[in-house]
Amino acid sequence: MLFEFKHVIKKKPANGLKSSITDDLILRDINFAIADDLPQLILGPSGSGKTTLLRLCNRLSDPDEGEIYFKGENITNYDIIKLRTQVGYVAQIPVMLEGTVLDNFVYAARHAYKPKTEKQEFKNECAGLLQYLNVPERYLHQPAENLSVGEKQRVALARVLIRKPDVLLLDEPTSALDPTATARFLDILQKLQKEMNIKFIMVTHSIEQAERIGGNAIVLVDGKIIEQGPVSKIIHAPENEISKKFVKGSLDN
Amino acid sequence: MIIELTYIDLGLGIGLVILSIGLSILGRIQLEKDLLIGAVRTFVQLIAVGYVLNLVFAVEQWYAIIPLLLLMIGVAIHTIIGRQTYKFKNIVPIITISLVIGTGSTLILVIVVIINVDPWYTPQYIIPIMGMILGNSMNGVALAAERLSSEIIGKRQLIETRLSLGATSREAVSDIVTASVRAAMIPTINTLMTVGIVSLPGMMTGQILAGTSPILAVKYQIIVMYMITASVMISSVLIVYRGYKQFFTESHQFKE
Repeated sequence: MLFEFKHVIKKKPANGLKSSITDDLILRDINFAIADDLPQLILGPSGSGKTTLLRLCNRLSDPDEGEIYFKGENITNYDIIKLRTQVGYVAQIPVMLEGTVLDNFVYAARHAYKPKTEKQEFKNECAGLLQYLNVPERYLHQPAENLSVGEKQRVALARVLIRKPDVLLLDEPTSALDPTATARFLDILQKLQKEMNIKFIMVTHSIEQAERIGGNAIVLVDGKIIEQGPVSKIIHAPENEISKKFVKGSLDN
Repeated sequence: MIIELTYIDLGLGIGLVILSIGLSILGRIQLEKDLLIGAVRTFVQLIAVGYVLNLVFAVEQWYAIIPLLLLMIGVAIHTIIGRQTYKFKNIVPIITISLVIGTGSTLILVIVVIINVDPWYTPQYIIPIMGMILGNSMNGVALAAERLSSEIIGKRQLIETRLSLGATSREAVSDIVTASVRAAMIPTINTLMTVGIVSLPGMMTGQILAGTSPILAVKYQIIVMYMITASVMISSVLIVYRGYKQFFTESHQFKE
């Protein structure tokens, strides 16, 4: 198993005067396992705890109770920096680091291994990745801030890939993109999956995207897993009443 | 010999404030109230301080000096905290430690090593010197802390991007940390650059008024400038390097 969640509970962060009366859980007793070889989708309406669940996988935050296992080992036993190298993260809204696109690559690679970043070889690798992700190579030496959102999101992806992760966490990576950029991004994901054998854990609220990516899915509603299984089954034959509504509602949109 | 000032002289001085108030009324600037309150406060506060200092100078013992120094530090801490929009965890002990180490080490160096005051608690030296060090460090620490927390909160997404790309929390905020120290140091560095050209420092002016030779007054002023620099630098570096840690856990993630 790639990831295993055992009785994971996440509370809402203590906020000012609000006392911990009753309903203050974001994730309530999450139990499930992510297979080694298939994409894993986390579906559900907004506010259901999807992003919170994803961020536990590279320890951008920790659960309040329960354990998470990565490749059979408790996630807290890993060196945090090495864990974040193995488990790459692409956020909902791409945030570019200071400097050029190349600077972004250098920052990302430097913390994963010790590449000779001044060497032409490294630059070629970056350029190759950009090309692979349909970003013009010449952008390498341009300020990253000048790119369009769609390009930034692909650079954010490339920046993670240069770190040679085993798994990619994708948090609604297309939510900030227009339909054209979304289509491009999904094409790239499918290409990565086929050609580079990269494993995904992707958060989305779009059934359409889920169907394209395939694999397994969980449906998260109000911090609880209400349904899990192969994507096709969840979309075409959901068992749970709420997930039926969710699938139907999402398709209607 | 310096010319004595009587309370009658001070009364005449009030004429200057009345002049300002008159101009405010004439020009409808509406500062009369603030000017009046400010002038009264200046009078009351300084006279009170004068009597306290008079007492301390008369006693001339370490047990009279130490409480006064502690009171000064306490007021400075209170002022810094009051100026912070975001009060991070453990802000009070962190600011206290930064300020005590920054000002304390500088004070000891200046009093014991450089000026070589004997006994060290001679109020004529230790009180004005601590006043200058503390006043400047207070402003520096307040600036540094405010900058640090506002940037860490404002740039959360950028910081998390860096963290997820394998940076430690220290690496993820390194630019914010340096910017905060720089923000604290800029007023001091500006003064170092322009002192004597743009303005004559108050302490030097005061010494000259009191009859000290300009050259000696200048020498003291140079020491004062350097000690302020060191004290602001030490306290703002300490506050920033202790302070940023309050935002993160050991596992390089934001505290919630």
